[in-house]
Amino acid sequence: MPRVRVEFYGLARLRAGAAGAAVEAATVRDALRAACPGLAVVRDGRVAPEYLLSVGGGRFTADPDEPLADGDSLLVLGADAGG
Amino acid sequence: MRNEAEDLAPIPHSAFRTPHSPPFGYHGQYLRIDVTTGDVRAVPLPEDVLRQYVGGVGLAARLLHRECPPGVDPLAPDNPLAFVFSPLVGTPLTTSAKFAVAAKSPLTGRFNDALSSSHFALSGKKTGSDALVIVGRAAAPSILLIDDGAVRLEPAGHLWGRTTPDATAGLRDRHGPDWSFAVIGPAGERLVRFATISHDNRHAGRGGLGAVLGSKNLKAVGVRGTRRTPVADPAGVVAAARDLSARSFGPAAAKYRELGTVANLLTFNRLNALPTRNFQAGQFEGAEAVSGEALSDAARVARRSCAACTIGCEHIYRVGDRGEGLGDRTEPPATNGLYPNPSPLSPTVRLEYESLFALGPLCGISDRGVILRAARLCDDLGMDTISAGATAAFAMECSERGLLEDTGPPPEETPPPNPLPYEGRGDQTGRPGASPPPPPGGGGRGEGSLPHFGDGDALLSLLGMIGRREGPGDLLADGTRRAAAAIGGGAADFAPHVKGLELPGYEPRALQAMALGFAVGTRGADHNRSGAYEVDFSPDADRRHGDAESARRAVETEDRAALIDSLILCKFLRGVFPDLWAESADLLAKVTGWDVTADELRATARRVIDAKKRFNIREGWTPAEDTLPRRFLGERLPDGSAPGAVLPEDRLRAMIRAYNRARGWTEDGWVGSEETPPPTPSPTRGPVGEPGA
Ligand code: SF4
Repeated sequence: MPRVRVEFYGLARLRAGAAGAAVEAATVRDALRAACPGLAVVRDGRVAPEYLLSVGGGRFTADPDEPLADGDSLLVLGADAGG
Repeated sequence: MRNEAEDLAPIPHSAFRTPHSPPFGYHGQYLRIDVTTGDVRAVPLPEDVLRQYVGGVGLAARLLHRECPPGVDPLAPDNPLAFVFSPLVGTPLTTSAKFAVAAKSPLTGRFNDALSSSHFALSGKKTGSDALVIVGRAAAPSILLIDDGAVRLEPAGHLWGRTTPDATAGLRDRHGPDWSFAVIGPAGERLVRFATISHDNRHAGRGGLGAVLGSKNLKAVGVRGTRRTPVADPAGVVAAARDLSARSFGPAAAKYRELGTVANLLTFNRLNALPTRNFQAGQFEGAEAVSGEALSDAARVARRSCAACTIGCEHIYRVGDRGEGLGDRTEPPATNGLYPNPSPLSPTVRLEYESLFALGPLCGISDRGVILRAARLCDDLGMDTISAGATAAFAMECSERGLLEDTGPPPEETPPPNPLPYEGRGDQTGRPGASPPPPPGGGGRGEGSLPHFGDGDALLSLLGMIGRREGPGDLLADGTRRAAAAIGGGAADFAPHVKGLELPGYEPRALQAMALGFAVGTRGADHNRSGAYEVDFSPDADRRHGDAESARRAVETEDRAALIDSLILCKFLRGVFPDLWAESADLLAKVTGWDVTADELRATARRVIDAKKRFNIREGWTPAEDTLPRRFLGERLPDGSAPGAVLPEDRLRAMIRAYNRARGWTEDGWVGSEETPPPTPSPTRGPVGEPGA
């Protein structure tokens, strides 16, 4: 099972009460379930509109089933990052 | 209707009744006030013009075409300053208590609009006009008062020279709480080209509109009124307002409510998109210390909101006492630095991400206490925090490169002989690999006399000097474009501006749709009129490799912003609209009774953006100014914890061509002539929109 780092920013960090967590997960959905089950980042099968997800910071994803590789970082960010 | 400027007689109520019946939500006219001659007149606004431009920024664009003489010096009496309301102002719709301020910018020489909020919008519209257009120059420092049907000037007296909170308090003492005031600080009086107009601790911030008000010898504009505008469907508006308020309590606005925009800082830092040390890097080693989260823990004391807002994004922080987790500074609280009456800074400050990045990482500052003091100092003096921070950061880089030693005479004025005379204390960040020391010798001033990134004392000192136009502050008060031209030696390559307006807190190489938005922005580098960062943060775009599709989608974000800014609603509400166009049409229909559709509003947004562009073309725009400083096109962003990025010039140019095509303009960005709001030679000829007007 890939070992990944889930990092929280903004509202996600405030609500998770932590900056991040190391988990073992094969997909984005699994990583979120393991790192922050109470956060409801994925709702009704989709990424909730108030969150953005990025793998490694370069690429954003809206696919909860996106596979993760060993060493990946999954970033949970607030949507509307501007302002 | 012509009166003496010192005591403008009340205008008869009949003067406000226009020959046409105004549509619901409008008064159907604007008030044109000449503070030189005392001439005051109500100018009709026909319904078709109101429907075409709605209000706020849109109507402001129309009015400037009419009122602003082509080629006018932005600080000359003839440059009109317009305060513009909207049909939604005064309704119970959440976040609708907003107004636009517009003029030709003294910083850019181009169209400039800025939005602000709260009771000034409500009271201003109740004076009986959809806009207040001020021209001329008062004979002495004055306060302009618009009280229902009466317009008068009174001497500014001892309020001239006072900070924005002091002046506001003095005006409230003098006139009572039912007045609302838009004021300038000492920076506006001294024509600092990025001076703000302040109201209720909010600011029409960008582009130097405070200097335009100062150039008219006006310390403040006060408004009071009783004239309400009926809406077409009162029950429908109330129901819509309830629904919108309920949605504003939901997750879409939670970020603004719970942490505020300062939450962006760590996000941008992680994405290598946080402008650091004058855009030399995209990550800041002191980011955790100055993060929104750290600030909240250490110094947040309250949360507030604008009038008529159910979100409440204003997070208020305590300004710098020692021993309160605000850093390790040991001196007493800073003062406003004014002479002859320095007084302590106001004890709290509202802080947004833009102020935080500009006065923090952009200047290499990792001391929260310094950032809060600097933000308060800017607010008290009445200066745009983005431009002020960017100008200070630019000066720091010039200093570290030794360029300030080589300052040649600027085109029209002589720079001060000792550009940055302050008592610096060196780098306070403790960061590894700090910026290089100043060049040996330092021109006889010694190493401690030049500002460095990370030097909090240098930052506070520079801000004070800029606000007072004192010493080197006189040159820097003209913004980075003019300062770079005066300094020479390649400084223009890293002066962080577009069209003269300093960049906000988005690293363009890491966010390349936003880079395009900056380059083509009609008011310069601008994150409020272009939301292209939304493209960068979407799953189907490569934020480090912008392309034609990014450009097409950037156009969409601009159009949405133009609509929101014309309605006017707060952009922090935008996430609650599943379909902004359709819902906006529905809201506007309920207020005005118009059978307006989503498609009509799309056309309105395009018309507004075209009008702003046409204004710029009229004022001398050429395709060459739609670009970024050389730094962004020639230097690779250093890697941090995220990979660096590069933005080749030909890529930016290709995006600009795609953007122009998507707008229906020529590839170079010239706009066709149809539907051109014509410039008006005589501003008093007749109603706006009359043939030949
Ligand atoms: S969300 Fe913030 S800026 Fe917008 S209206 Fe409310 S308090 Fe004002």
